[in-house]
Amino acid sequence: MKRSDGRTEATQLRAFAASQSLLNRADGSAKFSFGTHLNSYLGESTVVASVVGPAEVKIRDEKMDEATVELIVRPAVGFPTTKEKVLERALRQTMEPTILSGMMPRTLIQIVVQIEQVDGNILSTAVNAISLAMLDAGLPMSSLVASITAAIDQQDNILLDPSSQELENATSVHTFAFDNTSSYNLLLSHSAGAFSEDQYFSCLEACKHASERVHAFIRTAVEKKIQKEYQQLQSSS
Amino acid sequence: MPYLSQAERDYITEGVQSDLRADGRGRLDYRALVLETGIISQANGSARVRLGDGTDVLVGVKVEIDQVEPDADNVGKVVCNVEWYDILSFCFHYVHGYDSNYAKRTISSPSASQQFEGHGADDLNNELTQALQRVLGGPQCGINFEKLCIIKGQQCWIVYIDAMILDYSGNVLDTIFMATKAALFNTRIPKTQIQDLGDGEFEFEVLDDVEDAERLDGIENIPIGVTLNKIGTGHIIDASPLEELCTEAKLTIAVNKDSQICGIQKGAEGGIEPGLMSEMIQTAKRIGQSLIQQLDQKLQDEERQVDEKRLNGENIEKLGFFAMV
Amino acid sequence: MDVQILSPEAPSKTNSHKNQNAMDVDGGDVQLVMPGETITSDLQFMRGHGTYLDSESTVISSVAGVVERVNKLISVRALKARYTGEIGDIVVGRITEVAPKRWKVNVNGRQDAILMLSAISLPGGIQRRKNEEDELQMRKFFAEGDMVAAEVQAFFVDGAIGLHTRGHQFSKLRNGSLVVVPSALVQRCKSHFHLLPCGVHLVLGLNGYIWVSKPVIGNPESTDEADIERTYSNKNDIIDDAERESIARVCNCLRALARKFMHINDTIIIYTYEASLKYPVKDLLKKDVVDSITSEASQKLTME
Repeated sequence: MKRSDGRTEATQLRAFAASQSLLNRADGSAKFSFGTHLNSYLGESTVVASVVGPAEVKIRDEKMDEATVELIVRPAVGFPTTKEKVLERALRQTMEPTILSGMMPRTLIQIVVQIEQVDGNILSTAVNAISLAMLDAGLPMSSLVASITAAIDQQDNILLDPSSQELENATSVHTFAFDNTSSYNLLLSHSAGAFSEDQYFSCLEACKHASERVHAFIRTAVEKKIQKEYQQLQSSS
Repeated sequence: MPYLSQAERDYITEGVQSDLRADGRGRLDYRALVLETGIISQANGSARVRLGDGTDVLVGVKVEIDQVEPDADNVGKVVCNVEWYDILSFCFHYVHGYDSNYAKRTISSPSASQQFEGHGADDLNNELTQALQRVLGGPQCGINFEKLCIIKGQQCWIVYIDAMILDYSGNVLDTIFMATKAALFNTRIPKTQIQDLGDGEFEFEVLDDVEDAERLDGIENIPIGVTLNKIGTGHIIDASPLEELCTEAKLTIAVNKDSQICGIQKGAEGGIEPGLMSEMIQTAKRIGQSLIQQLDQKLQDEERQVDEKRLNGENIEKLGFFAMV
Repeated sequence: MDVQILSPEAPSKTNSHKNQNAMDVDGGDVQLVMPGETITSDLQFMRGHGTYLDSESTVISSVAGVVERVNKLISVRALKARYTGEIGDIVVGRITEVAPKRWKVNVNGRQDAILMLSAISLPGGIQRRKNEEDELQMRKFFAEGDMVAAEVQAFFVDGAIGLHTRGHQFSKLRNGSLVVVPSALVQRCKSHFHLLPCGVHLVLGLNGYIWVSKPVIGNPESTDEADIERTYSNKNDIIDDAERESIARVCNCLRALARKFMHINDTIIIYTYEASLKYPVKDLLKKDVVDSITSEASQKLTME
């Protein structure tokens, strides 16, 4: 098959790209993209996420037994709207349970998500970017989250990592996030459109497989970075 | 004033006096820049400039067709916007309050998180947006605005300049100016073809051939900003965050390649004596001209390299965010 | 005026690794884990920092980092994290707030550290309880923005670090400037106060804040009127150009080491300083010079 942006398979994901620690001032930051501008015929979804914390918290927001988690989504242009608020809510619900906030009582963790480019589902891109940024910040987490979106088109094909154009023509869209424990727990499920139970579970299964690739990618990205730092430290001590 | 001890303030002031700043630079030394253009594929032009070990500015230029203003129907216009990446305004508290503007605002509020609740970030965005707009919005910026008009009395190009400050380590306005000049150098506007339908009616067509797109007219005249910070009796360029905290008065002077002054903006609370003022302007003219020369040289070199690669059919790899810091 | 305008550099490619879980560093295998990954389900091990136990007492990593084992204690060290103090650590901090009977101090930790009024030494080292009068003039000792060298004394119940400044080496800091480096780079060692051969004094805060200054002369413990004044003075001594240059050079050497992510201790600082002497101080900000002086210094270190 031929997809609207030139991909040849329904299960083909756009190439991932990521970089960490791109903002000096935050405790952790990361950028994650589906699609890279190196093969520019494919569109690109890019999100920058940064994490500050654990840090001093305002007394008003202080929780005695756990950390206060704040999550802000900033759109690529203009001011935040209800759309961003919905996204904030979804992201919070996905990410917060994985943070071991009981280990950091009376502190603040602030996550800022800056959307840069949108071609496809931004929720998945944001989840992956936040995961990387939290890793970079060294926050204690119970597990790591990775997310993938699937769309079902008019011909009942399941398209993974759909582009904006494919989303427009889709009959239903499903976004899932999974952790990296052996049971691959489902942490996020957002569906829109008309679909059958069977279709839902086929999407779930397809996304689960694809999310393993995101997990593997995140691992490699972090591994490379830590390996480099570790080698430098070893060589200087 | 919070976030800087008296001893540190004195140390920096004395350092300026003896022409040996805390990082070993003289009064008129600039930190190294890292520059790359053409990194946002969706924009008509873009550039990212990093200064020293911190300040990091990304500028994107987008051109769009719009109706002309009724009172100026034969020109296009330039619209600027500067935004701080959200995290900075929050983080600074934890990293010593390096940002002078914020630190100054917090004098009245002992808790630094309070300034975050107000419109601190918006104020600063507006301040920088205005500074950029005042210089680039009028004829002093050197761009031929009449050429931006497509059909007189009807439609024109609007050039949107969006700067995002990703990281901060002093001298941010000058960095924005340089990144803007670089991004405009990188900008190409699609060509238009006008058809005369008779009866004074015109129609036009935008040619989407990339090869046909052309540079803005008058790009070489775009000024850059040189900010001089008065500390003690001396003045310095390219101030570090701590130096900005010690600044009594500052003067941002926009200069073009012919050493013409295109704008002056005074900042901070202190005063400047008339004698010092003219001395500062002379310095800015000299520094500005030399900066522009070196910046132009770099931009031309970079463009030539890209062109050569394109001719040889090589892959043009832009690093963008994936570059090593 | 000349300004260096560079192009960005591509990140260097690291060597491909052999298998998924181990990376080979100087011969020894290092186990790298991600949050949620099981380190061991062996019940004999105790969990340390960077780990948590699940319902079946399996030790699971909570950060991305390198597994470290000391006897039966397993911990995961994340390389980049905020400073978490340990009792006895020497830190450098900045006063952020003057509160009743205490100061709040920024030490790059998750919360501001606390310096109690009762935990500072009075001018001249006089031993007595602090009274109301002291409480009213707390800003005479430390005001907002002041830099201070202190020792971690205890932890409060909410996890905040408690500091003290009793002892002659702890004081208000002046005569120089602050350099901030990642806290992981400063190693614990016998002394964190150093007088370098070039006449520059260093306080290596374990929180990554390093104070570089001209040494303060005079004995702070003497009861001499002038010395008492000096303990909490805000005034710098007279610093001549040569001294100023040395301070700036040491600062730039520290920044260079931090840029290369190298461990910082007095030996490497001295080696880097020596290697830097062939360049003017301001050139130490340039990337190629940074590369050359740090590699020269680390070579010298390995030759020992």
